[in-house]
Amino acid sequence: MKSLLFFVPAILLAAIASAFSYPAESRKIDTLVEANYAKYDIAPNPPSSDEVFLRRAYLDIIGRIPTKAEADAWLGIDAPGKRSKLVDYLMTTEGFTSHFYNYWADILRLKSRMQGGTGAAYIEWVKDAINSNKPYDQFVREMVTADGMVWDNGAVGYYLRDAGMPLDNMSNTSQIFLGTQLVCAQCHDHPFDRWSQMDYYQMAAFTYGVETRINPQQMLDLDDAMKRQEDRRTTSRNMRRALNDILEPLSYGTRETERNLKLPYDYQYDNADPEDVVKPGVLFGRDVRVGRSDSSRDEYAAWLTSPDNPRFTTVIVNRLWKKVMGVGLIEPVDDFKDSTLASNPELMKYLEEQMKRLKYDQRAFIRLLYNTKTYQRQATGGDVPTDEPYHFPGPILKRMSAEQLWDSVVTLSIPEPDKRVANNNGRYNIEKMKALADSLRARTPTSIVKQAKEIADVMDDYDEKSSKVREKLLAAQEADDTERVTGLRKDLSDLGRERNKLVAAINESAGSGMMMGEEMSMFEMRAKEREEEEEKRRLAEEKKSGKKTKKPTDPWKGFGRHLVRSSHLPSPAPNGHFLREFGQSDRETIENSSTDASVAQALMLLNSNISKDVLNSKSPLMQAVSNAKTQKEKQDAVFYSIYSRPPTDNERELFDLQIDLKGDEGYEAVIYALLNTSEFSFVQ
Amino acid sequence: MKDILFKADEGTRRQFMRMTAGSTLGVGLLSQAMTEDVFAAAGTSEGARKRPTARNVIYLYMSGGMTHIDTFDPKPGTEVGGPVKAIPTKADGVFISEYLPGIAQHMGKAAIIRSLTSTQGAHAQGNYFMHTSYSPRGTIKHPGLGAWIQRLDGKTNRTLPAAVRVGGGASGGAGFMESKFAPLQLGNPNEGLRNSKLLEGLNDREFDDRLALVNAFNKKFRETYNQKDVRAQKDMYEDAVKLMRSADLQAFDLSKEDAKIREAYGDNSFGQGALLARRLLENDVRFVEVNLGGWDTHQNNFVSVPQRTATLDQAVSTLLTDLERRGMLEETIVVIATEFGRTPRINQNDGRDHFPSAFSGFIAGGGVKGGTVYGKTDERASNVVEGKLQVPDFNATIAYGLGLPLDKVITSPSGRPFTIAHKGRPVTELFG
Repeated sequence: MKSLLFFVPAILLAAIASAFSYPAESRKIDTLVEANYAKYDIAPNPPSSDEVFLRRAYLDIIGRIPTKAEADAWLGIDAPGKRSKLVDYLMTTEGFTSHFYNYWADILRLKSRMQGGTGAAYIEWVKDAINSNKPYDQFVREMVTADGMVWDNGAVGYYLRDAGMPLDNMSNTSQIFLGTQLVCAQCHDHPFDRWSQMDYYQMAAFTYGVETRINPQQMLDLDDAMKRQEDRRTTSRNMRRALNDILEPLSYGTRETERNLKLPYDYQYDNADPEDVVKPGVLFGRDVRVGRSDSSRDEYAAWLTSPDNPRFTTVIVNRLWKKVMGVGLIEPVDDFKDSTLASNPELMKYLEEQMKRLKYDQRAFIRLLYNTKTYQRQATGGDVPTDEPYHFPGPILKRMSAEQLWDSVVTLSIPEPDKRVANNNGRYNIEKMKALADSLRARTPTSIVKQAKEIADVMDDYDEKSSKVREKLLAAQEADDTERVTGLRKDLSDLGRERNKLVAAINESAGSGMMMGEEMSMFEMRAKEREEEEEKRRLAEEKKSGKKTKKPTDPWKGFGRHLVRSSHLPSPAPNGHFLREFGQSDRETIENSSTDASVAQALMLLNSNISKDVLNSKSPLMQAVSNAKTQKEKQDAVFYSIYSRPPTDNERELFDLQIDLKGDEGYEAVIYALLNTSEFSFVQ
Repeated sequence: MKDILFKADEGTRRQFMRMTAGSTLGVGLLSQAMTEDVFAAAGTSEGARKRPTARNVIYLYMSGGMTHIDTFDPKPGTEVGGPVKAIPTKADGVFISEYLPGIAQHMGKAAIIRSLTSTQGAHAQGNYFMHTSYSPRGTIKHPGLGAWIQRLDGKTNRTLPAAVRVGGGASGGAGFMESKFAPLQLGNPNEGLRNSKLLEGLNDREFDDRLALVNAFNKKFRETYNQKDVRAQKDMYEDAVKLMRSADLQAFDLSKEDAKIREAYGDNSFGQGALLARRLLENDVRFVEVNLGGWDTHQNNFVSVPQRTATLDQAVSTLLTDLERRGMLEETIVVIATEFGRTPRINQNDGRDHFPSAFSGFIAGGGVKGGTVYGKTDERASNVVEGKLQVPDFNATIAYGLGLPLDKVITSPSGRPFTIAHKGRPVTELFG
């Protein structure tokens, strides 16, 4: 176990031993920031201590506090450029992907629960893009040009997330990637900006052809089979619904169509008539010639993500600056107007040049920012006014995001927090959907129509029976017969349950149900096979090298299954989860997360089992305490684990007193108290 | 035995009296109930402010956009009406959807508004507009009704928050106001106020000791960073500890209710949330919002809507009966609100899409003139032809019922002026 614990710092040490270089671009950024100090008479904050920098870098770059072992390893180094090396190292870890996934999940409103688990495929695609450091322009391009089934291309999730709402999808696109708010112009000309309803519709026309609500019946040719069913019920509401349910997996994707966008029926302006077809057109910059290539979407994507687009680069540069420093050079980050000016235009211009030079490599770009003196200063102490420009005497103090806070608690509670993954139900669901769709394509139309008809019969029967119960219910309501009302309501839900059972049975015998069962066991088998193969490989390796290796053990055995990093939990976490109480976005609107304080948060930290997880005798924190020899070292272990620094004299006195009074329980009391302090939940 | 509500009422009331008597908080529901103002007829005074006919609000929010045609504005037998029939209600000549048989029995004490219209056709924006009376802006966050009530009229119970929300909701928080005006957010009503009890193995003395330790460790950091967010954290701990020690905590505990009452409200989180709302109002919470989602019926409208309405109908009809029998309905406004209606045209997926041009709302109790239908849509339910009511007007009407000053300006920290219902004008004739 011990070697595992020190595994990470060893890599870190190796990284630091290599040559050091301080990026010239970072120095230039500092110079540009400092120009504003003089101009606006700002006194810069002093440089931060190594302890503060360490904790901030871990939280900002990989989304959690460092462990004591990690803190010891880095603080113990005496070498020039050790801060740069830490930044470089952190950007190569799993924690980086985890943290930046959380950042993008908030912006893109990533939801695990989308129709049929399509959310899982989209989420997986975003994580892969971050992990492989896909250039930002390519990342955006792949989303807005995405097409096909979700298991072939997870990026179609970008459209499926707004399924059936193509206009909203375009207003989200312009808000996220162009910092331009069009949403007001959906129904009328924008009252506070120059956008007309026509501008909005012209933009939306580029992507209006993307069909997100594929009618699955069109995917298979069922016409003949339907006709052969000489029953007028084939066109009934229940029949249509049953068919759609069976065929649903065929709809998990998008399709490019020739669909034209028309102006609304109540269009009120002179430049066109209501219900006229709208030709695609861009908001600003170089005009896009439609029809030059196969898809106008490709042309539009090229315009959107071009270095020449007047807002595309500014928006991402500003977002990332805010991510690092806490405040944007332009605020808010997604409501640019023609009159919008950065608080430091020269700096903005330079940052945009850098982004273009780096070919939209986000990681390389933020690396420059983390290496600045500006970032490495102390956080600003007093209130930072929100309605005047901030000139960056240093980064601002932030309450940790919900995810940073949860992931820090996990870090205190389990070993190797970045490596633990939850059961990968997402991947399983994606494969299952694909298998279902394949099997539907292999079935005869007749068998599918037959299955649908059987289901429709059950539904018709239910409709008839339930409508009778509803009539009785009405009578009972009128008679104010409460007991009978309750009874009839129960009858109604019993009928519903019976209906569901019958439908499940039909599906099973038709094959779709059975297949799901088989798939499940197949997956379990595969997992087992993989494990066995791993073991075989290890034994073979042993034989070859003649060296004994240990069978790998599960480092998280005995730790609660809920203790995984937030990026592996469902998005959003369920209502009432720690993450939601601390302000994780509900993923309904763009960047809907919050760091506002609430009573429920205090109650969570004071009274929930969170402190029990941290105080578990096997937790890295408690292990560090019990491995330390003297009382002073034990106290250091507590403070380094939670605050990444040693206690002050005053704090040590408080600590001593607790131990004098309560013995070992004094440690518990202090740990509990520190978890409830502001210093724990804020990023300095 | 059929009158289970009344029977349970006695037990709960006794319990409640004991609780109030034992509570250290002198002013409670009892003193209020004796204030003549509350029940005095407010007359028909015009203008922005009147003597209140109500003190509290139970705000039932139908998240996703509740179809108006299939609920409160039915068009039976027409192409747009789909298969849904209309049924008579207790109010003469007022018909509502067959999906709401329970509410139909209460129309004598409720008003339907069929002429709501919104400028916002997307969920987030529409939801925000309905909750705040302002359309969303990038530069400011507007407070919701719960925060406004506390800001303009104060709290009654000192330890419980003035506003509580059950089951999610993104807009309608404290907005630009301080976090102490934010509604307390509850996830699952059955769990009550989670984490309000001391950790196992910790007694009061040890807890106090640990709190003192927290304060001691906080001292230096709070001096170095004297900022709004840090101060807010200090406030939140103080409020949390006050709440933990409050006798009123039992208000959150639904297990104190008779099992039959709980069943009558419906075995789902919306029904239980409505019951919790009643309990909280009994303990002087002023505003409780309960959320019911799943109204975004782009597909299979006629399968999903009856499921939603079954839940809604059961909870609301039980709530109105319960409030009435406890003598609480007169001082409580029960609202059903949503962000927009749904298209009269039924789409190819047998669903209805977003429709802000015309939709319906519902207000009961709190001095509302029962049996009223305000406003009218055309035969396709697609245009308001009578009594057009903007979203801020709807909120102004609620505020008017509470006797809140509609013209009172509250300034944001950035110096911008705001009022409770923006420029909304109340429908005064809804009140007797």
